[in-house]
Amino acid sequence: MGASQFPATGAFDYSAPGAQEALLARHYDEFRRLARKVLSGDGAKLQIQPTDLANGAAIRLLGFERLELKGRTHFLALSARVMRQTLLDEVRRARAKKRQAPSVLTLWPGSDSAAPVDIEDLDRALEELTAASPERGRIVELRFFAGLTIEEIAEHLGESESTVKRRWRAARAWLLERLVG
Amino acid sequence: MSDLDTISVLEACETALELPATEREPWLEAQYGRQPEMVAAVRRLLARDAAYAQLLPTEFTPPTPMIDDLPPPERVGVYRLVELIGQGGMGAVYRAERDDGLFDHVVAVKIVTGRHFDRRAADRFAVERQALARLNHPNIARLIDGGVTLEGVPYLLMDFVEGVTVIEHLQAADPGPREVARLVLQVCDAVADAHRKLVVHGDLKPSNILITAAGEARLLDFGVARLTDIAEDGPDAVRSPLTAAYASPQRQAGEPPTTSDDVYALGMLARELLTRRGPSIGEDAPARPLPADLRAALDKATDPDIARRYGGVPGFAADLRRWLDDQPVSAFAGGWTYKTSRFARRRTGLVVAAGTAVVALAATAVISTALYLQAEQARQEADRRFDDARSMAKYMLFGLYDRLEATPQSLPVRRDLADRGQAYLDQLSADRRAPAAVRLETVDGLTRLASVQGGVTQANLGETAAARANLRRAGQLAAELSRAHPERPDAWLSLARVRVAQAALAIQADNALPEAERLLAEAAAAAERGRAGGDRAQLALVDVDRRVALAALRQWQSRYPEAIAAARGAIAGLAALPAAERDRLEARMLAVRAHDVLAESIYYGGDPRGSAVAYREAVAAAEALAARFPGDPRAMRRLVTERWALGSTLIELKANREALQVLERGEAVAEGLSAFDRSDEDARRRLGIVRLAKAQAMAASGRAAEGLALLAGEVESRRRRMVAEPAKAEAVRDYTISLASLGDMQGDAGRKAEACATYRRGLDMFEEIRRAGRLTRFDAANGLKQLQDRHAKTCGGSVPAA
Repeated sequence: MGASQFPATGAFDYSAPGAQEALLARHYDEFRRLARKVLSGDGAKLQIQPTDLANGAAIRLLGFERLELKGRTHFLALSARVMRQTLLDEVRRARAKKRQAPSVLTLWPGSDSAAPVDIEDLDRALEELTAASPERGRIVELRFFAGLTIEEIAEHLGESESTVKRRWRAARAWLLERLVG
Repeated sequence: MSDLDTISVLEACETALELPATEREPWLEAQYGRQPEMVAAVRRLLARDAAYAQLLPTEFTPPTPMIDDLPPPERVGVYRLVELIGQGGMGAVYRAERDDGLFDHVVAVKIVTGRHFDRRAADRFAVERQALARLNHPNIARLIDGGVTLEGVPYLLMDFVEGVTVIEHLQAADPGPREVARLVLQVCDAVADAHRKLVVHGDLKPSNILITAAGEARLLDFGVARLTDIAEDGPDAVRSPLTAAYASPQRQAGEPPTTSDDVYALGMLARELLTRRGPSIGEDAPARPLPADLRAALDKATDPDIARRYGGVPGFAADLRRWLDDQPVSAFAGGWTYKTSRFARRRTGLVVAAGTAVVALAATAVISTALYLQAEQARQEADRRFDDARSMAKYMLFGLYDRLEATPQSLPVRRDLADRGQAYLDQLSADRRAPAAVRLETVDGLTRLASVQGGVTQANLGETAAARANLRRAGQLAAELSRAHPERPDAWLSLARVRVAQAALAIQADNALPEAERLLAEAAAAAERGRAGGDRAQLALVDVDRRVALAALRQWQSRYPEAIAAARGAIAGLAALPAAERDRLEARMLAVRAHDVLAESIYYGGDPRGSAVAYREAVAAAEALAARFPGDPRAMRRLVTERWALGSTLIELKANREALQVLERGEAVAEGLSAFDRSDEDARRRLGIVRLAKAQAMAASGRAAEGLALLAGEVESRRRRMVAEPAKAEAVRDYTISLASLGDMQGDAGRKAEACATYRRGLDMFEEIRRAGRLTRFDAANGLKQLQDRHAKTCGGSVPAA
């Protein structure tokens, strides 16, 4: 059996120019399918979490759990943007067709259900945050849409964990402030 | 807020977060006293952060009756509580049975009890639920669900583990040290897995380990677990209670649990179990002696100095394994430098604060429709989880696998994926209680897995035995299902599909033609049973698939007219599909295959001219496939195959120039495939086959020297491949085919002696095949016969006996 060979040092060369994009492009349809799955659910599922995409998703099934942190994180980090876009696209499309689609987000897993938030609002707020501070926006995106842990984000961005944690808390508070009021 | 403000506010907030809570206000005043807007903004953010970190809002009111005065609820969700099986500090555990009439299931229900339901209990439940939700390990009691009863009592639903504590097991079975070490290893694996998912158990002790009747260990009670990543600083960090006996000095000093503490506890526990002396077993009996190296490992695990302890559970487990394998134990060898791991050093000292639905609901503590809905949702979630496992298997093996095929060098990942898929399917198929729909999907999953392991129509992992085994199991499951549910057309269709896949494997890999015949008949019968009410498109596809396999079978049996009829039937079947269905990848691939089988049957039936016409159609279908799915290696492979087939037929018909054109186009695609993934054996083989034909076309077009050179190279590659895998019938066949071509070309170029020698090599090869009992009528009638004829013609003399 052996360990999966996806890591940065293994068979697939992440650093090769265009390699990651190529890989992503191939998976793009899958993300879309996943986004649709998450959105359509079993009927009247009104609330979803963005990490539903990352969590249940096959991304993790690519054997990432057995990989070095680097390989998995790289890929997930890359996927975060795609997942976010995909999710939004699907929501917008569903809305345009006036189809029933969950557009409400449970922002913080496990939090009081009184904090639901519209996905498009989140996206806008996140855009604003990113415009003001690209690193913070990226942290939120990675945490949220790729489900990366603080440690993984720190590793990926080359920052210390305490920095990432601090920024995450502040960014989260900032988003909550704008979205929940 | 302008951009500048946003960053400043954020940065200020971050700086403030670094300070202890009490110093924040003063700092804010000092820094930004003159900017009241800034102060206000940062304050707001800090408040948000605190609110989130808080476990419960301050207005929490516990339900008035003391919970331990209340009897336990009768039911939790669809489960009826049957008997109390244990009681701990914060909760009681009951055995519960499902009684909604859907299916039987026994679970353990853990609910909060205690003097009064308070924040601490709620926290603990929340933590445990979150911890368990991350874990999925055979040696950890699985969390099924969590929620709140109508009375507002939080609960956790878990696997019911039937077993005794490890202490009882020791007393009853008296296992020797090796057996005990094996059990400890199971626990280590479980804990290591939890650590990988950033969950620290925090309370490992013998009473948390059950041994099942099968002798497997199960780890329980993650009630004081700590999630080391999303832990936040909370004003009231949960201080977990301590079982001092197994707690490391660091824990005893009040530090929150880390993975290193789990290692310590494991060491203490292992020592106790091995020596039969300790805090749980008792200190009466003398300790059983242990070998020095095992002792060294235990000492290292329980070293009070973190720097000298194993850095993580895997290290300890590895030494235990080494001891079991009679290898030198690293702790004992003494020469190993022990590097402190990050885990050992890390002291994040934070506790989970994220509330869960459990906690949030407990906060309201009022029976309301909201509560009821939450309970309902919890039940639905439990179902969804089942659904997820199934979808994951499905996704893995269908969607994702396909995508991966288009990814270069993904073979190891695909193998890994197949392994995981296998694991999921093994689990799913063993679950007798799964509803019929799930079992059906398992059948389809196994069928699909088999096709990627040893599939006939696509690049496969070369694991024919595994494919066969999976198909056999799929067949059993499908047969059972259709027996149990004869009214379900989808059960019959799945059975039909499995039988066709088995037949195809029997034909291609085993040359087991009578078996294939039988399987195809069964497939036809099953499809017939599924006709009434079955999905039309599915039915049509199964039918087409079956006809294609039948055509292949007839061909191998040299019954060409029947093969042709079957292939034409397949093509007609595809044409009858609605356009949307016909456009799918599977249907298009089948279409190419059907045309290919038709053309092949016409060819081997002795009509090369007719076959060229049919091959042109096959190429057209393949070109349409590749155009429809550009860049998809599966489509590209088919295109290479069809161009080769057309090209080599044209050579035979002496249309060499056109043949060369067609083959060169095929070669280009094959080169693309090979370049795409250098590790793709199949691509290389395909390229070789095309080159062979191209060499022939060259030779026939007056470019003999080039052709011969190309061909000789190809023969040598194949010889090498055959030598590397002599058992592979395919490799041998490839080699002999190339020999025949080389011989022909040498003969045509006037090099008679060389030609005869080459033919001789081919004939000898066939003789070996015949002696091994693998010479089919097909090969005898075609490959061997051709060689014999050529040899006779070129070398004169009698036809060598075959």
